[in-house]
Parts: sequence; C-alpha cells; structure tokens
Amino acid sequence: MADTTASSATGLANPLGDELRTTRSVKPCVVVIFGATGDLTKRKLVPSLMGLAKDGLLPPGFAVVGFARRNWTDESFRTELADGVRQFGRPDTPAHFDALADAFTFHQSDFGDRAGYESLKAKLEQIDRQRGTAGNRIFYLATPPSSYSAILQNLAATGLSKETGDHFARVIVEKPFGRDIHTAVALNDQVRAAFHERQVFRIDHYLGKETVQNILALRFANGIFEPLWNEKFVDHVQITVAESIGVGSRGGYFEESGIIRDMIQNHLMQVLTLVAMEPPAAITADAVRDEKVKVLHAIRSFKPEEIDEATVRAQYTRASFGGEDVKGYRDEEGVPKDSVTETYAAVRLEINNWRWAHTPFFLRAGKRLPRRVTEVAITFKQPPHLLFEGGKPLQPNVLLLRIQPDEGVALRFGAKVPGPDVRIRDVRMDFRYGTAFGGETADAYERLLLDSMLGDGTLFARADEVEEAWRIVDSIVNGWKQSKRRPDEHAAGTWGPERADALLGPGRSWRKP
Amino acid sequence: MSGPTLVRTPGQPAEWKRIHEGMRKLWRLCLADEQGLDVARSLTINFLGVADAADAAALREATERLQRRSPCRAFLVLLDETATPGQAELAAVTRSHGSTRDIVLEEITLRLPTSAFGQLPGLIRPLLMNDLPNHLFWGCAWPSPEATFDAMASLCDHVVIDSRRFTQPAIDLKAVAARRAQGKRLTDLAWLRLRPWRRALAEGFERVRWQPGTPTTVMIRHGKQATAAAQLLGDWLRARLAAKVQFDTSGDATAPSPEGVVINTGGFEIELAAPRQQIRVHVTTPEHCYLPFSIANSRGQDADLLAAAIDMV
Repeated sequence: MADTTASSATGLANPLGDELRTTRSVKPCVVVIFGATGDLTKRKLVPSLMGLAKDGLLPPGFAVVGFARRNWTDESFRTELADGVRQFGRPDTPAHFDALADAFTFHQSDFGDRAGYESLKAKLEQIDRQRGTAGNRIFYLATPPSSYSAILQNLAATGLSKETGDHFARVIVEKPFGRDIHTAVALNDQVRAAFHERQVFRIDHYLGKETVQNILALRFANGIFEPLWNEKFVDHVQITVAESIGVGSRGGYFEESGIIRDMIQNHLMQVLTLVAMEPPAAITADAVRDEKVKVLHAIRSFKPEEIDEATVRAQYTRASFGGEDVKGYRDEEGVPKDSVTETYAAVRLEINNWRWAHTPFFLRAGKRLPRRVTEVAITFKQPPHLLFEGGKPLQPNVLLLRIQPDEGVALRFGAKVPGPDVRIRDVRMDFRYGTAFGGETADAYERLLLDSMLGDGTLFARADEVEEAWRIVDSIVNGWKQSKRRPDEHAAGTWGPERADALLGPGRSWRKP
Repeated sequence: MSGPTLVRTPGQPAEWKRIHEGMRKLWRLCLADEQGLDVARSLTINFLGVADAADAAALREATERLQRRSPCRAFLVLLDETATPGQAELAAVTRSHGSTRDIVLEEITLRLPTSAFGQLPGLIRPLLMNDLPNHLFWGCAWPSPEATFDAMASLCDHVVIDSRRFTQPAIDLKAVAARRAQGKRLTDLAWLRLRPWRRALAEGFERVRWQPGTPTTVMIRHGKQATAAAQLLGDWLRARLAAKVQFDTSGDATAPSPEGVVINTGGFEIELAAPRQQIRVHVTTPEHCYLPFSIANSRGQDADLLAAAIDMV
C-alpha cells in the first residue's frame, strides 16, 4: 500500500500550513542538555523553555533530556528544575512546568562514555514514539568547553549528529568560543567534524536582547537615520559595556580571560558589527552574518608598536564606592598580587571601508565602573558653519541607543533657551521601551532557544565571525604582552583611567552614562 | 528588583465642553508628586472602546491591560439608555519604574444613550492625540442602525469587533465582511480566539497526505455563544478544503469557542475535542492511529486578545 502519511514529508502542501508559519511554530523536537545539573539549565534554559510554553510557542511534541554525570533520577531532575522555574521563571510559568513535567527525563552518563550515547540514542527513539518528537534533536552544550570535544566526538560516532530526511539535528554551543584564534579554529574544526555549519548555533546572549535587535530595526526600518550613518556625518561612535560589580568569586576565571576576552571579543564586537554593517539583502541568517563579517574583515589587526596609542587597559583599585569600601582587583580572591590582567579596556578601532573611513569606533568595557550600563552613542559632526553664541562650538548631536538598563533611544540636540538672547542649550528627545511597549519582555534565552528550534541562525555567531573577532582581539592581547607599559589604574567607581581620554583625540570626551 | 508600580488618580468629573481643561487638571494631579520623580507622557495610541454599561468593568479592565503594552488616551463609551449626555469622567494612570514615572493612560469615560451617539464623533475628534493610530473596540452587539458603528469607525484606522456578541451572526458577519471589502481594517476577537483551533487543525494536516479535490466533510460542534466562531471556522475550512461543513449546535451554550471538530477526507480522520483548557487532536489514517497530542486552548483573557489585536496592526 502506498504511504499516505506526512504531507510535509511528501512535498504535498499542508492546506492549512500558513497557520503554522504565522505563529512561528516549531517542529516537534527533543532538546538534550549536556551538563543539565549545572546552573545554566536551572536558571536560564528551563525557565526560558517554560516562557515559550506560556506563550504557546512550544510544539505539541516536545521533550527535554538532561544528560550529566551526577547520579540523579527523573524525579530529582524535575524537582530541581521546578525549583528553578519558580525562582527564575516568568510569572505563571511554574504551572506550565507542572503540566509538562513528564516531558523532562534524566540520562546519567560520563561525557566521554560511548555507551552513554548509545543508550541516549535508544532513549530518544523511544521518546519519538511516545511523544511524537519526530526524530528532531537539539543538543545544547551547557558544559565547560573542556567537555565539548568528547561530546561532539560521541555525537558524531553514534550518528546522533546526522540529519536524515527532514529530521533535524542541531547543536547549540555556549561561549567562550575559544580563548584565542588558534583555540577558536580548533573548536570550530571539532564542531564541524560532527555538524555542518548550518546545524551549529553559537550563543552570545547579547544578540537575544530586544534592544540589540532593535539596532537593525532602527537603522533599516526608518528612512531618516541611514542617510546620516556614515563618515560624512558621524564624528565617532562609542560603545560601552560597563559593570558596577567587581570580579567577586570569579577572580580565578577572570584572571585567565580579562575584560577583553570576557566582553570585547564577543558582546562588544557583535554590537559593533550591527552598528557598522551595510544593509543586508534580506533579514536572513546568512545575509545578515555575511555583512557582519565584512565589517570585521575591514578592521585591520594592530601592530605591537601601535598598541599603547590605540588602546588603554587598566585595573580597578580599592576605593569607597556606593557607600562601602570595595577591594581593588589585585586584592580579590584568586588574583595574584602582580596580576597584569585588565579589568578595564578601551580600544580605538578603524573600519577601513567606504562608509566608515576616518570615523573611529571606540569600544570600552570595564568592571567596577560607576553604573551597569550598555549603550551605543553615535556622535555627529558639528554643523559646517556655527551661527550662534559667537561661533563657539556647540555640544555635538548624539544619537544614543541604550541597550540596558532603561532600554531605548535618545537624541540630543540644541534648542534655543526662551528669552531675548539667542542661547542654545542641549535637550534630549527620549524613547523608552518600557514606556512605549510596557509589559514583560522575554528573556534573551527564550528568543534564542526559539530561533534554534526554528533553525534560524540570524542571531547566532557564525564560525568566520568568531574567528575574525579573535584575529582583532589577539592582535591587542599580543601587543599588550609585548608592551613595557603596565596596566593603568583607576579607583573603583570611576569611569576609567585618565589616559583613556587621550585615546579619543582632541574635542572628544567619553560619555558618563 | 521590584517591577513598575501603577497608580490611578481619582476620577474627575468634567462637562463635555470642558474636557480639555479637565485633562490639564489631571496632568497637574499627576505632577503633584510626593516622591520627586520626573514625570513623562509617552502615549502611543488613541483607543476608543464602546460597550454596554453593564460591561463597564470589563471594558475598563481591558483598557488597563492594554496600556501595559500600548500607553494610550482611551475614550470609554458606555451605552446606558438612562444616562443624560454631557458629563464625562476623567482619570489617569501613572507607572513608576526606578527614577522615572510615566503617564500611561488618560481615560475619558462617556456615558450616554444610543440616541446621543451622533454627537460623539464631533466630541472625540478634537480630543484625539495627533499623529497616533486610532483603534476602535466595538465590544457590544452589531448595532442597529449601523450608522452608529460607521460614525465611530470613520474616526479610526483599525476596528476590533467581537462577533461572539452578535445576536444574528449569520447576518451580522455579512455586514462586517461588506465593510472589510470596502477596505476597512477589521479584526474579530472571535477569530483570534480560534487561533489554537486553527493551529491544531494545521498540525493535524501535517500528519496526513491530503490532495486538493478530495471529498471532505467537516462537523463542528458548538454552543450558542460560539455560533459566530463556528461559522468563521466553517467558512475558513470551506474555503481551504472545499469541504462540506455541518454544524452540531448541541454544545455548552456558554462556551466561547467550538467544542469539537471532525474532518473526514480521503480515508483520514482528524478529530479535535476540547476537554478543559486543552484541544486534543486524534489523527487516524488507513495505516496509522497516531498518539493524540494537545494544544493549549486559550491564550489569555479577552483583554489579552484585544491587546494582541492592536499589537498586530
């Protein structure tokens, strides 16, 4: 008898299929989380999945398998996750977890044990039969990078990474994607030995933030900004990611990475590419990522002798901050007294292309800065002829994209102060997300998990993006290694060392957001 | 970190001709701030809601829910045959978050009999905030005469109706379709309420191989409140599958959505039933009887559907 099932598999159109497309429906699937007993699963992944369930975005056939070394049972796994959803989930999501609890099972195995993957395969096939998950799998690597190799090799060896027919197999990789270009290339090679690039989803959670995605909307959904978005009108761009906290108990980890690997290589570079890229032909994964990579290609690596002119690194020192006496970086737990690891970095980047030649991009990231803030400030050039206040230069216009907190967009411009004289004062036109759209905003992980289930890689880093970002960052790190200059110092709770001001050049100053 | 706090001012009476002044008094009230916060006003839509006076609480709740997503100036028109036109009640809601406070709702309530409806467009038009989209929610039965609806709809870019409230769905839905054909942008909450049903049916068809032209029958079981919804669903299936559609009206009279759908086509059967808050789907083909799967039946209350309808435009 002819097979009469599965319209989508036979190529016959589902007569009601547009209902599935308009709701961004996900195909049935199983998510396998490696390292499922860790904090990420409890705090982020499962609460985010339940956020999707609350919004009706999970498919009818859905299951999660937690894969880890610990000797947990299905029951203890579910109890732990239920606790996580209660603590970290959106309101009302615990009820969704209760309704879906039997979709969560635990699989105990070492990451390097081949037999554990064979039994995982059998378990997944059983779940397909019981829960209609249709052979679709997503493997989430929520483990330290040191375990990636064993997991990827075993997924390939057992055929779990293979896509057959219209069944998908995808892998989600958490940052860090290496610690320099060599390790990043090695990691990409390992991933590609098991999965095709289109199956790979590298998560940088910054890209899941609504306000980061809004950079594309602001630029390409409006006619007024793009004509000004180039070296003719933009004097310079400042991108800041500031944290008010110190390294705390992560001193040992931070000492190995520094702010440049922890923040600049990933979050700041991602934001930079979105701000500087050319319009893509379409909002599709490869069209957007092709344009982002072109920006990175246009940034030249630093020569060692340029590094002290083009960058500033510093460490925070003991100070009274926020009403308490806080430690300096070298006094933090796990940090050597003679550490030269930077907790603050400012970098001047030149993008050598038609659009941005002569418009520097200044990237700044730091710990123990006065406020937790992420923003992009586009500073415009002065008008060609200064008419007011005796021709004295005015404050430049600034278009500010605030990514967190107080997410929104502001434009600073000059206005006449009421009165008989012509005096100009800065005023601000402000759009705030919370005010205009209100309501609860989904966590970045929700968006990214949903996109990975849909197979949409637009908001994920591609291998060549990661490698290009490392090429630039490596040239900075190598320059610092060869430099005789030690890191500068700045008191905790200040906006960085004085030398950072010189980086900007005359007539410019760092924002104090 | 605590979430935003919403504070509603006490209602302020105002004569129709003094609504402008009344609004200014209201802003001063919002500015009389004991916490030293900056107050901003950032409204994104004008919202006109029309309901029977008996449904005033539901309309107000819908408006409160709406402002969380779309801060608005809202005109709440309550149809009350005993009311004397000429008086409005004004109120505002502010939302505090961190060091900022926003006026997120300016509410103007107008209570009037149907006979005074003709005065409304002239009253409301000058009070609409410039350059903002105007949305009308017609939250009552299809009117007779229809001119009352058209007068309000003419002020707005987008109209939301709820055909569940229609008294003669077969006739009233035709009147709605005629306006849509003229280019009026209309969203029906009854159609949005059917979204999980439409999705469940589409998921069902993912499991079968369906060829256009296959003889297809559909049976929709529903109660009185879901008459319009059943008709909308039936029309949709008729258009998509060229199906013969029948209705079984013996369902629960108070249920807002259908209670079951059975589709027979080319030897397949797709059966949907709605126990509790779930839609359970059974798909049977000549070779397979699939394990049933479920989809959540309802996503939120009417107020959420209204906010979603406005978000979609």
